[in-house]
Amino acid sequence: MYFSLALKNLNGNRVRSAISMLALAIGITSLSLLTSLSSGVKNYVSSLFDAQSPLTEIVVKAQNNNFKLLQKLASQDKKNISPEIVDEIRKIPHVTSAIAQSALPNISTLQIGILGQWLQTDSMVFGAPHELLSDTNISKIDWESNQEPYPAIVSSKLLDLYNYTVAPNNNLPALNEKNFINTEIIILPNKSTFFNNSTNTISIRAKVIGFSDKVNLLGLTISEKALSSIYQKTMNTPLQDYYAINLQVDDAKNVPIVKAAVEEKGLTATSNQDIFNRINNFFLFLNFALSSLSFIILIVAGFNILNTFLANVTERFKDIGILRAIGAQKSDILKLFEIEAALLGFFGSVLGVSIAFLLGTIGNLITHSILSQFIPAEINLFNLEPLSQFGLILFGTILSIFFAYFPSQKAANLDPIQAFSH
Amino acid sequence: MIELKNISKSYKVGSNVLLAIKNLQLTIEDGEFVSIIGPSGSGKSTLLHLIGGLDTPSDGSLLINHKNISHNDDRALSTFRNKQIGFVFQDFHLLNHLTLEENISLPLLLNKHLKLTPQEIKERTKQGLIEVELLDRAHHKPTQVSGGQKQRAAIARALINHPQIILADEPTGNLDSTTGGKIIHLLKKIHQERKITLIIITHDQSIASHSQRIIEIKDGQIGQETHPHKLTH
Repeated sequence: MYFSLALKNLNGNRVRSAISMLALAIGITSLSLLTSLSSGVKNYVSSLFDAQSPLTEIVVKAQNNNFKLLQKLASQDKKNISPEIVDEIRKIPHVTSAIAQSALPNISTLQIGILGQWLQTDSMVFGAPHELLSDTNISKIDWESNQEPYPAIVSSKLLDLYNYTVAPNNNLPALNEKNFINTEIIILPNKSTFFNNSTNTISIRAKVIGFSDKVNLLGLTISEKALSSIYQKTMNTPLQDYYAINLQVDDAKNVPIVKAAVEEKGLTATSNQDIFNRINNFFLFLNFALSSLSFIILIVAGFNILNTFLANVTERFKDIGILRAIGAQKSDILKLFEIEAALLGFFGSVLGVSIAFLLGTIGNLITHSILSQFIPAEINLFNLEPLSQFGLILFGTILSIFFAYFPSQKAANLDPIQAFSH
Repeated sequence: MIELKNISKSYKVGSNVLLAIKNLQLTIEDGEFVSIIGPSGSGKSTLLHLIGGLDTPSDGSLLINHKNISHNDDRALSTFRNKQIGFVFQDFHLLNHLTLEENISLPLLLNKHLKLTPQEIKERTKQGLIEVELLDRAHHKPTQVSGGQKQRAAIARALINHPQIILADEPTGNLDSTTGGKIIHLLKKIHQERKITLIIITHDQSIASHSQRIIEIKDGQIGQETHPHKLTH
């Protein structure tokens, strides 16, 4: 009975109800679009992140070897990981592979000649077995070449460094990754462009064969054998330990277990999940900030509902009196008005979600057609998840009930005689 | 039986207290047809509202079938109005956005004890419409029918829950004399057939003359009482 009566009452105040519904719909649309955009961007970033660094990966380092670049330059006491520790870590349950990486103990200077100009920068030099390149098309024979120039993979940051510093200052064209392949790099171990305390006496030639930000963000990576040979030449001792271990865990959910087991051995373990969680936290904050803006719109819509219902109650004093005269209790009147509010909130929210769905779908079509090379087909920039849209409908309905409560209470408490006298 | 014992009703108007009913004593037997007459502002409507449980007395006791309802809470009074009282007003007081059928069925829908199925409600409403000869206007809205038809719909609504008492406040006040006469005859017929208590407030002596008892209210008190017709049952 309440539903049909409430629907008829809303229909009786068509224009006012429609305006309130529209105000709520605008709020719900903005909330839906902003949250779905935030979720879509998060998914996009996560997909990029996941493609480069799976969430099952852990990087293990010795306790004092997890410093930033400049800290590393100043650090004198450098401990590495022994082959025995690597074996122990391989035996930790859930570890599917453990690839140890070695490194030259000190910073090296890289000299890169491009189009007649020299780019000089400091970098760590790492050594890695071929297994670490299993995802690439670099063959084992090429990688483990014993002759200079040694095949090397570098961070694309090196290319950025050239494109943003050397190229503009010398009126040279910017290069892409493909142009950078086969570029020769001269490695000067134990030499820094920052600190003039070089003991360097040798130089080694390397050749860019690929890019891998997955291995190291700033460094240059050559084969383990090549690094071992350079180490022997520069340090006059054989390479006996490792700089880091790249662990693969059977399942992302087991990463915390493996991390704890590694840390028990006095080593530091950084998982991609940690970074992913930080990204997640950022998006949580972003979501909160964007949602707050929409909430303001919704609060305005809520006050509009309050105003509509106050006007409805005043206009329907006589109707309330009639209902009271024929036996409606206070609770019946309250229920009737609150159901009207719920229906208004529901229809307004459904309208808002529908508009958001339409705009979001158009937005996704446009972004996919314009940015098809950047955004994978399965990622929607406006991620309109059905569950969150249902949640928004529920939220809009509850908001409407909340704001209509005061006028409904006023209607319910109206004295029947007073209601008639209006 | 309706018993009013030393009933008073006062209202606060600003800083003044207005005494609308003063120590009123009145007994109305079951099945009586009573007219209440009196000048404007004499307290007739207040008395009707008190009897109908729309208002509560400031003092005294109001007994319906020997049960004191003067201090009932809102819930009990609402149930009382729904089940035992049928109101008929001068301005018809129908909900304009509902059809006549929907207006008539409202007291049934508000009756929490009957628990009728929608089909039963529809059937009972249909009987009500037939009784007041409005079946062909069932799906019309109040704005689409004449004043007489509106009042007949209001009477059907008042009767739908089979109340013991019908309270009619100037039921012909907004109707022409011919239509008004028909409404009075309808009320009289219903009173005789259903043997319910009928209390009519009127200014019109000719209407009052149809009743068994005419009570005059003057300054919130009972004045002259006459008996144009004796009880027939």
